[in-house]
Amino acid sequence: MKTFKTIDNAIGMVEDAVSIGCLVIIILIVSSQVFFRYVVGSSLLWADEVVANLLVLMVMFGAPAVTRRFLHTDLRMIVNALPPRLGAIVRVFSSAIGLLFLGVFVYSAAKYTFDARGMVTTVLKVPMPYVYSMMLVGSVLMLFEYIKTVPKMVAFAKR
Amino acid sequence: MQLGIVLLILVFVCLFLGVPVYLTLGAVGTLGLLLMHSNPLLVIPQSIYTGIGFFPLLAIPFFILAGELMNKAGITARLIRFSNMLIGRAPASLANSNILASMFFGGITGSAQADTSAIGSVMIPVMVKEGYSPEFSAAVTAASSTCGPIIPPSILMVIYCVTVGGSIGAMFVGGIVPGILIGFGLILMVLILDRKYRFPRRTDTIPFREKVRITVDAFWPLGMPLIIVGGILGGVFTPTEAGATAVIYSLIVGFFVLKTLTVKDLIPLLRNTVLLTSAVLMIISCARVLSWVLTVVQVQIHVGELIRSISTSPFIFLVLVNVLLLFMGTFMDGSASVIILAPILAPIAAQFGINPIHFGLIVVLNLIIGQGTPPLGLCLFIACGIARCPVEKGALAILPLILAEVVVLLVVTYIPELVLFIPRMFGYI
Repeated sequence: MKTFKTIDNAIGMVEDAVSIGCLVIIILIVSSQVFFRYVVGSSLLWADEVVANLLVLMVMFGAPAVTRRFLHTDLRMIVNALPPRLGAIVRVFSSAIGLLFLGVFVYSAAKYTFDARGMVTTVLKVPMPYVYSMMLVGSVLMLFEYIKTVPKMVAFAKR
Repeated sequence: MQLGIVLLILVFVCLFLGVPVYLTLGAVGTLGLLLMHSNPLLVIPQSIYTGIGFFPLLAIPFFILAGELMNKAGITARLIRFSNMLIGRAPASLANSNILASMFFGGITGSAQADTSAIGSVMIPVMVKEGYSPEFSAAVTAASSTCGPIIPPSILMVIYCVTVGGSIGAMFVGGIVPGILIGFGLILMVLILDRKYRFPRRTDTIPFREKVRITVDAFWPLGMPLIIVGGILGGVFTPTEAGATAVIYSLIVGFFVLKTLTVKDLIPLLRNTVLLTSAVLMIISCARVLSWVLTVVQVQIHVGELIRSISTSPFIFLVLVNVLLLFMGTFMDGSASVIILAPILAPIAAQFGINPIHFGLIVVLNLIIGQGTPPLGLCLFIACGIARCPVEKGALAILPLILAEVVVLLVVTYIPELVLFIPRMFGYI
């Protein structure tokens, strides 16, 4: 249990560090774009491609962190008003829906990444499997964090 | 058509079962793909990747971060002092200062919730101390925070434009007049209520020197909306670049001008920005999966035909839209409502000949009014939490203010020029 907690904390730190790091780099690149256009007189051709992919990376590591903190938008008004036992059943059912979708997302992201072999990005010619693997990693992290929340949500509904 | 309707119903069923919005949209979209015998393994990752990796969406984290930085730098107190000075000794002075401060604050954050917690945490205790009831103090704060997402910059407008493919710059400038009208409508309602309740009125005068100091203090925070709107209108930068510029401006103001920010403050602010942005962008990207299905089964066309079978009048269509969106806004997050409903309603509005900028403003205005209304108005919950009063009391106190906002909504809905004349003046139309 202690080992799991250590690993879990490390994963949480990586999620935070990667997503925050991406945001900082995005701000620097987009600000530089304005500077280069008006001061230097030329545009950074690679900027749009890099920034768009950094945004995907930020969300793929940020969304699991959102799940970890129970901050995803949802409507709990009705479920919370249900009798505890019925509420628990509904929670289990709704968690199953989420788990099913995230499972499909992990599988489809893996297949999509695998199928992109031989393709490269338009400007920087980065192999697409590297780019799409962000979704694979992100979906696995989302599934991991979501699985962790399920017992807590069910226990909350039971109370 | 039947599949589309079934999927839309399923979306609401899943939402009411407590499934997070992004998972609801993704799961129902996946079900639709399976029922259509399409290849979900291709559409899901493709939609999610293209849904997030879209340059204009960067405006969302930028405006969130700029607002957080400015707030942390201590602009709230400066804006409140400036508003107090402008309102002076007018009737219900503190309540009206609260509204005016929210209008200024809206030009910086673009988020109603941020406005409620920032302005409310300062204004509500002061209002209660001066003799206002806690519920009225909470109600004024919650209602006036709706100016935030209408006066540019607006995160909800960015989401709307990205969802339906409109011009963010045009929406921003189109929001200026409705935002000001909402603010003035609320001030007018407070003055009407003052005739009955005789709210406390400030009696002290501010010396001229103090007035100059307060104005100078407010210069830096108020510079940000000027840079954003001026930069976009002047064609200096895109709305996304305006967001990045706003972040740099906030950093310079916080670190070098006001000297109230420290490096230590940055990590929590960046983390909060990442969390808020990721939650919204996951909803947007998963909505693209569902949107793909709904487009293939031509739900927009069928719903449009259904509405035209009821009436061919744009007037009636807008009544229906207002009723639907006000209702949605009362129990659902604004961004989620935009992402689910805008792609269906916007094409129908275009068929009725309604200008897309005008329609976008109507959608945003409706959903934002819902943020302050019971049963699930988030701003009302935040404000009542600060005022330590029961939400039921706050809900009653806010009703006249909501009425004022609905009147402004109707004026904006049926006089499109109020929204369109500034975008037209700057060549957006």
